[in-house]
Order: sequence, then structure tokens, then C-alpha cells
Amino acid sequence: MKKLELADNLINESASQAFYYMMSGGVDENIEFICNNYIPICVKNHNGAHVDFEFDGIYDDRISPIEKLTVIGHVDNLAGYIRKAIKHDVYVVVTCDRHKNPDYGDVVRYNNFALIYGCVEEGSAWCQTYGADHKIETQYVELNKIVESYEALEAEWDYEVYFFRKRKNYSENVNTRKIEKQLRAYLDNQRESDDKIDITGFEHVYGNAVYDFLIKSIKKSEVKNPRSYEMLAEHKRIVDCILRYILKDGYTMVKSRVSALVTLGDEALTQCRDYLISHKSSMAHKLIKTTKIIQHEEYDLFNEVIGIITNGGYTNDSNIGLQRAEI
Amino acid sequence: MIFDRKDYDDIICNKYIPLVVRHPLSSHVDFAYEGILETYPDGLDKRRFTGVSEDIVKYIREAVNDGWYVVTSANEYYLEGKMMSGIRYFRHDIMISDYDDAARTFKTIGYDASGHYRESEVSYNSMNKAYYTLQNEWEFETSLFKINDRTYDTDIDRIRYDLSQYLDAVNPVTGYLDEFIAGKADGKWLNNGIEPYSGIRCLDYLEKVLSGTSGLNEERSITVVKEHIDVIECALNKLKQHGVSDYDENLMSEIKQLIRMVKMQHIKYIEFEEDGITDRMADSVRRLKDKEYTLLKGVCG
Repeated sequence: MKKLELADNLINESASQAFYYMMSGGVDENIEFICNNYIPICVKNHNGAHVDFEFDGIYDDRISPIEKLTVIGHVDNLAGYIRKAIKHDVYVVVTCDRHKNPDYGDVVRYNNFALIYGCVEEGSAWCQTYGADHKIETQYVELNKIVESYEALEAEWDYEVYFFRKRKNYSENVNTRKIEKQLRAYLDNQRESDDKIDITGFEHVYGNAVYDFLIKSIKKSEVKNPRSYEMLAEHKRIVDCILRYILKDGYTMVKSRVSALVTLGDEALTQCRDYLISHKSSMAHKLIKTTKIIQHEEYDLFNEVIGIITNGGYTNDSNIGLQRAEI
Repeated sequence: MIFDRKDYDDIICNKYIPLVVRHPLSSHVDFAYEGILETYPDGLDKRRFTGVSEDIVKYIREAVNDGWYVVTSANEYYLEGKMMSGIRYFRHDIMISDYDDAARTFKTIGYDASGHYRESEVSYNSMNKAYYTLQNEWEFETSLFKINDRTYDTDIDRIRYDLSQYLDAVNPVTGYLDEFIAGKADGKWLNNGIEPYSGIRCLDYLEKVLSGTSGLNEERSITVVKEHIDVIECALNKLKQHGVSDYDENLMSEIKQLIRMVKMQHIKYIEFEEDGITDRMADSVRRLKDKEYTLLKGVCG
């Protein structure tokens, strides 16, 4: 029996990113990477728009804290490979059929992912996957079932297995200039991209304008599930981690505001859930009001953060690219 | 197609050797390695754009103006001369290298209905339909590629390893998972087969289908094998240049002659339906395989 470590899950609404966090050691081990790559959000989905993170972790094209091997197509003795991988500290993500998601209406097939991180000799495995309530959950399943659900995708393009492993001695410099540019773009409702990956949505809404989008969606009764608000609540917690790390002593200047924002994010999520149960217009108004407050609070906070970064208030010197060793 | 093989043979030799058979619609011989999906820097700069572009025609034109080749998902139903033109919804990639505003067309490169890579014109209107009808797909992507000036060193050990794996007909996954565990295959993107044929056994697959009744459809496989032989020759030349091992050039020229013959036999088969020609094609492929095996065995030992 062997189980690989999984970090606490900061993200629950996007399997690819949640897996990425969990495998790579999460915030504690990869704060620099998160600082450089996780600020912007946009609206994206193919079955209806919702707020999402920009970054698709497991499809990521850049060198990052985890190594990757992607295999498309049939794999002889997949169960054997999974066991072998786990034995050598390699996580496996398998695309699976069988997950029936009511949100997808008439779609018969729905690809799900299973992150396998532990095995026992008898042929069972521990995995993280979306459960029936659309939340990532731990499941203990027979490896043969996983293989079977993988093979069900044989005639599809999306017939893939990923192998991941923590990159040894990975280090990255925090690029405060990049973070500053990302924040400015966020406030301008633009997106700041590098030259590698560009993800957009059906709705071309970026940065702070996602709140306008949400308000519009509530007014048009187009918010069908709490996913967007869950993402926004997660986003605030990630922003908290990032600001705490990059601002150093300067964090104390914004701490109470960040904390209030995190609380507001959780409050909005609760209100959204209540609204989805009751569908009362009074609940919708309340949610809209909270969303507007968050939008303004976040705008002011990020403006202040940009000011702190610009003035070099995040450290004793204003060089970009702080080494972890310097912290 | 963006690369000229002569200028980028280091990259190609290191990445394009194994063959595999895979296709959701029908199996065929193909290269294992999807270069354009590869995750690490090579001779091409890449950008990937997922989700819907507000105006795909404008986006492509601007990308081309900026020197990018564009590869985008497209619904073949709306594209002329494709396997699924007017038949049914089918997602596939096409590459766009230029446009003509006067004619309102893109210059595209991709497979035609008979499996050939061909240049063709696609109207802006058709591109809009082919693109926007795919918006409910997960894999709804547009990628941009541009040649960069990054240098790439030939990895002679990698070439030798790939050749020996090819010769042993090892399923690429077998080797690469071991390599990944050993820390040598980070960022690899392997396209494995639905049919269980790997390495040199792909030629067994081709021989089998040519002996059967579906030889007519194998033009694409034959073309790929011809390209594969060019890459093998290039790889062997690399080993020779680096003083690792020499190879039998006469045997290589016999192999090239054989694949040319298979192509001619295939044309005859299509045009004249000559009796017994598929058996002769299968026999040529078998001889080709034997010769390739002897050639590579002489190099890899």
C-alpha cells in the first residue's frame, strides 16, 4: 500500500487546478509560482459562462513545480502502469467517462478526471474526483473500474492519461513587476498574458468586470449554480496568500481590508446558495448589493496594492525578482 | 510543415521517430509525436487560445500579419474537400498560413478527403461556420506558431534509444513511463495507438490491412511510412556525422525504392483495380520491413 502526499485543497471548483495545487504541494511549497501566475480571472465555460480562473493547471504549457508526461490513446495494462507510477512517487490523472452531470442536460458523455494518488496491492486506488455534488472528493475505487471508464473514451479525442511528479529543486523568483501589471490589467478589465497561453470565454469579461457580469446574470436569472461565487471566494483566499507573501511588512497596511474581502466573498457565496434555493427577488437584491460592495472593495484594495508595490513598500529594496532565500 | 526539415533536422530526429496507429474514425499508420502539442520550447514559439474568439476571421488575419501560423479547431462539415464535408459534424484541426482579403479566403493546409495534406482555400464565411459551430467542445482551441531562433542540440543518445525502441516494437508508453520515472521525459506528449501496434510492427499492421479489403484507404499510411523513412535516414546520418555508427546506404536506397514502388502500386490499385495488386503491395511492405530491420539492427546492434 502506498499513498502520495496531497496538499490542502485551496481550490474546489476546477479539477485541473485543484489537482495541480494538491500535487505540487499547494501554497506552502509553491507560493512564488502562485504569485506569478494566479491573479487574473475571467469568464469561461462551454456550456454557459461563469467566473473562472484563467489558469488551467494540468494543461499548463510552462515549466512549473511539476513534471508532466501526457499519453493519448490506449495504454496496455493501465492498472499496472498506475501501480508502477505510484510506487515511484508519480501521480496519475486519468480521463474518465461515466460521470453524469445533470447540468449538462442532454449530453450523454461527460469527461471527468480522477487524480490517483494511492494504491493497494489488491488493485484498489485512492483518487480525487468530482463527486455527485460537483465537489472534489476522495474516493476509494477499484483500479479496474478506472481502467474501464478510461477505455469507454476509446473513440474520443479526449482519451488521455497524465503522469505528474514534483519537480526536484524547483525554484522561481517572484516577479512583482508582472504582478503589478496583472493587477493593473485586472482593474482595467483587461487581461495580462504572457506569450504561452491565452484562455478566454464565451463572454469576453476580464478582471474586475466579472462582477458586472455576475450582477447582469443575476438580474437575468441566469445564475443556476453557486460555481461562480465559489470561484470568487477561492480567488479571494488565493489573493490573500499572494498579498501576504509579496507585501511582507506592507501586508499589515491592507490586512484588515483583505480579511474583510475574504469574509465578504464567503458571505456572497452563502447568499448565492440561499438565493438558488429560494429564488426570492429579495435574496437576489441582497446578492447584487454584496457583489457591488466586493467589486468596489477589491478595486480599492488592488489600487492600494499597486501603490505599495510601485513605491517599493513591499520590501526594503524595490528590485523585482525576490529570491525565496531572501525572505 | 512550418519547418523546413533540412534546417530543423535536429528537432525532428529527436522527436519524430516512433510510429503508432491511432484515429477515432479509422486506424492508420502515423507518427507518435504530436509536435504542435508539445509543452516545451523548441524551434517554434507557441501561443494557445482556448474558448471563443469574438471574431475569428479578424483574429486569424491579425495573427498572420504578425507572422504567426494559425492552427485552429474547425468543423469539417463546413469545409470543402474534407472527409466529413457535408456529411456530419466533425472536429479537426486545420492550419492557416495566409489570407486574401480581395477573394475573402484563407490559405489553409490540412488533410483532404483522401487523406492527403493539401493546400486549399477556405472562404471567410465557411471559416466562421466551421469555427463557431464547435463552441460547445472542450478542445476548442486556436494555436499560433512562429519560428524562433532558439538553438536545439542533437541528442544522440535519444536518437539511439528511440531507434532501439522502434526496432523492439516497444509500445512508446512502456519506455517513456520508465524514462519519466528516471527524470528524462518531462513535458513529453505521446500519442498512443488504439490498435496495439508500435514501432516497426506498424509495418505488420500495414501489411495486414493491405492483404485485406481496405487497402484502398491506406494511401495516408503509405505516405506517412514514406516520410518516416526520410526521418530514419536523417537520424542515421546524424549518428554517422557524430561518429557513433555508420549504416548501409545501399540498403537504405533499396528501402526508399520499395516505398516508392508501394506508392506506385497503390495508384495502380486505385486507377486500374489490377488483380492481385494488394497482395503485391503487402509483399513489398513485408520486404521493406525486413530490410529496415536489417538496416537498423546493423546500427543498434
